[in-house]
Amino acid sequence: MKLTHREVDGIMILEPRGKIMGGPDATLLHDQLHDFIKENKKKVVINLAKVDWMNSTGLGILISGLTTMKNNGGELKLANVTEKIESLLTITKLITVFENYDSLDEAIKSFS
Amino acid sequence: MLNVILSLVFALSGAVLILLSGIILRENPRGRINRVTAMMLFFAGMAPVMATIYYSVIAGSGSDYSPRVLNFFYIWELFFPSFLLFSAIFPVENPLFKRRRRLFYLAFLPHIVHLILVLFFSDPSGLLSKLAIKSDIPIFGILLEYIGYILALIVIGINAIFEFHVRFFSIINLVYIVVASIFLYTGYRNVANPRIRQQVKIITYGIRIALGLYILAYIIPTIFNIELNPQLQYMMIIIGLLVGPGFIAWAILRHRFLDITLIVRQSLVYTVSSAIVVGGYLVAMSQVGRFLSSVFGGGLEVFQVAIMVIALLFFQPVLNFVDTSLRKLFIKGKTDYRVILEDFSSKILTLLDINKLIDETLRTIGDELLIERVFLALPTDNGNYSIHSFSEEVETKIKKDRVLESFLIVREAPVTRDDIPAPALSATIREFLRNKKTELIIPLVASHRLIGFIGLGRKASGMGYNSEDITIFKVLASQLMVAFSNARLYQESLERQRLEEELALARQIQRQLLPKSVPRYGNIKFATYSEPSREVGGDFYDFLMTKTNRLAFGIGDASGKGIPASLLIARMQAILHSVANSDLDVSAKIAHINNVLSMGSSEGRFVTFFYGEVDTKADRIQYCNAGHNYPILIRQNGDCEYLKDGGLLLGVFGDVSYVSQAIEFSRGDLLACYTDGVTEALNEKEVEFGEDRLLDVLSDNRHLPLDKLQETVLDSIKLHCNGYPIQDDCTMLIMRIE
Repeated sequence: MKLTHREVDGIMILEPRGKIMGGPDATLLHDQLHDFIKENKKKVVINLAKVDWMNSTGLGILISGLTTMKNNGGELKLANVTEKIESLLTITKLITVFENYDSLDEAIKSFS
Repeated sequence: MLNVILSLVFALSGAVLILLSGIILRENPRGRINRVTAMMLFFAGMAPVMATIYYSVIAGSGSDYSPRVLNFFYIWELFFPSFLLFSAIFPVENPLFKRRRRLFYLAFLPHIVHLILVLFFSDPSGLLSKLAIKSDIPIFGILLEYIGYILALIVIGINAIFEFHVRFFSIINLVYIVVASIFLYTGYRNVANPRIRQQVKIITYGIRIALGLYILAYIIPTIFNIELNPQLQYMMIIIGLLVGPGFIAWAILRHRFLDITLIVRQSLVYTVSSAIVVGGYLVAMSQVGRFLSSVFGGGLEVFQVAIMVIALLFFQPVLNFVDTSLRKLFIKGKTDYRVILEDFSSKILTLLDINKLIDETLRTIGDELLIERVFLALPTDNGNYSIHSFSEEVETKIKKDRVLESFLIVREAPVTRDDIPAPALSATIREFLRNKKTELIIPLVASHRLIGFIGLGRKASGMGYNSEDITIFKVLASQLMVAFSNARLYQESLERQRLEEELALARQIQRQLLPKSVPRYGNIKFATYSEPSREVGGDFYDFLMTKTNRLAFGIGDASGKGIPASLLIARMQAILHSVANSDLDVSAKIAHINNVLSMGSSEGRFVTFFYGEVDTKADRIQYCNAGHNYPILIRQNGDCEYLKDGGLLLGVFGDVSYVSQAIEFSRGDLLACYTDGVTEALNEKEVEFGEDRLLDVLSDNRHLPLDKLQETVLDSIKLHCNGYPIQDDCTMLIMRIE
């Protein structure tokens, strides 16, 4: 997984690419979110458009990202969830936990 | 006879001294220490050479030689100021020499003046008679007479000097020796390196013994006008002449004094061994010849030819023997780089611990090859070099430099300081190399990758790096590369082994958590299958009896792999067992499991779980699906449905509500539960086996006996994967009412 980020209207947009698996991916995302929290940037959207697959550990990374943000008074939303991942979120019922939007714009708008 | 032996010893020691002088000068003609040492040894060698000439030519001939020829012998006394100069710069430059260099050159003046005096004014009275020129012109006659008087006075003065010049210069020489000995001693005390200390010790001992004997045999008797037994005197001088050069040769051979290269040291050994053999032969031949002629009388020539033939027959083998013995004694020691390298390479190939390898490398280069400020730089994963230095415990880090790296990869061989493209390097590296006083960098390059480099400072001997050194470091580098990659491979294999053990443990835990057999419950038949992948995931299934005598079953998948996943399912199962037998209904049981699991679970770890309770009397299953892959229910008539209802996966968010669902489950109905390893099994095109395929194969074969059905499903998965390894655990739990 490669991870880039940018800021739109005070909302941090994280853009992972590739497969979200275990190992270094977890620390990468985790560290990034903690950096945001330190900079008091607590509105985060993860744009999953370029993520074609994730395993159970990858799902765990998203979950722990969500809890990290929530525990620090922030929010984490998902955008552009691909079909494959959406079905994963549906099966695990995580779809009820994550706010997810069909487009990045919708996700950004949802904060206002 | 005495004269013959004397001149032999003198000739030999003189030859050795002058040879040593030549070797030392040749080794590094531009080095001051080499020049001064060579000069000192040359003048020292002049003494025995002169003595040889005296004893073999002059003393025996009986003819009169001009005293001027004899006075030429005083040239050797230049040894004393040379010795003083030597002591001022060896082993370290004396502070006095740094400040008053001229003073030391002036030390030569008395001896040079003396030499001129004895050579050109050696016969003052003769000079005087030449001056007594008669002139016919009265004024010139008077003038000449006065000049004659003045000259006569000078001549008387010179005469007076000649009266005691020998004694006077003995005193000067003695003073020089004492001062030089003091300098050598203070110099020795300032040397820290044990090997250099050893060199200095040997050399100063040699010089001290030689000069001490010379003082006793010659200087003191001369100054105090003591008559010594001439035989004793000769003995002492001979011993002195053997000891002095002998010790210097010893220091060169055994302790690499002045860093004399191996080839020179070998030829030195060869010369010495030849000299010994030839000398021995000469003595033996003359003795045998004399013995034979005394026995048989006359006819010596015949014997000599015979002895000559025998001697020639044995000359080469004897010479070889002496040569190899001397070589073993001197060269095959700790000073021979080849021996050090042999030791080193055999040692490092057995060192599989990287840290020990680093230590041994630094120790060998620093301690045995006598190089200052040795460091080893090894690239780390995060763009630094970790720097390990000899005699410094701390490991430092500096930023990698791409220019240096590619330069070293291209060069591959040791590079000197002047070759390094310093301006192109980063400031950090430049500064670092400057601080380390790095003279030479040895890259360790394996298949176009820089696996590290060694930086060397000055040699402790103060000499520059010669081509012999470079060759040695090339060999050293290639051996180090092998050793380092071996060590790395070993570490990796250890790591792999550790992982293998961990995986074996995880596999064992997982196996033990699975039921040993399928339960017998009413007319339900079960087929189960669980195969952990190579990495071992967290799949499990279980059967339990509830309080109301229903059969509870569950299938789950913990996130992650290996031991953490195994431990998570172990916890999960413990909680399940504690709650299954309670009065709670299905959804409450799951909610309870979730709450307990969430409390102690680490971030992002979860379990997906499908739980059901079968009631055969009522033909029903009450189930709750907590985020697990939907089990497939296929009715006898082929209708199918997915069991989706339940709630969120377990172990992440506490206080979540779950729902349970009741479905009819009667004769002929088939329920297939599975984990994602089954549907996500990939083929080489990365196409998943998928739910549709699973559904098809299940419904097509739903009438088969369960064992057969399960086998068919597995076969079709295998067929799909077509040899492509299955990445995740595969678990299935199939049941049917017969």
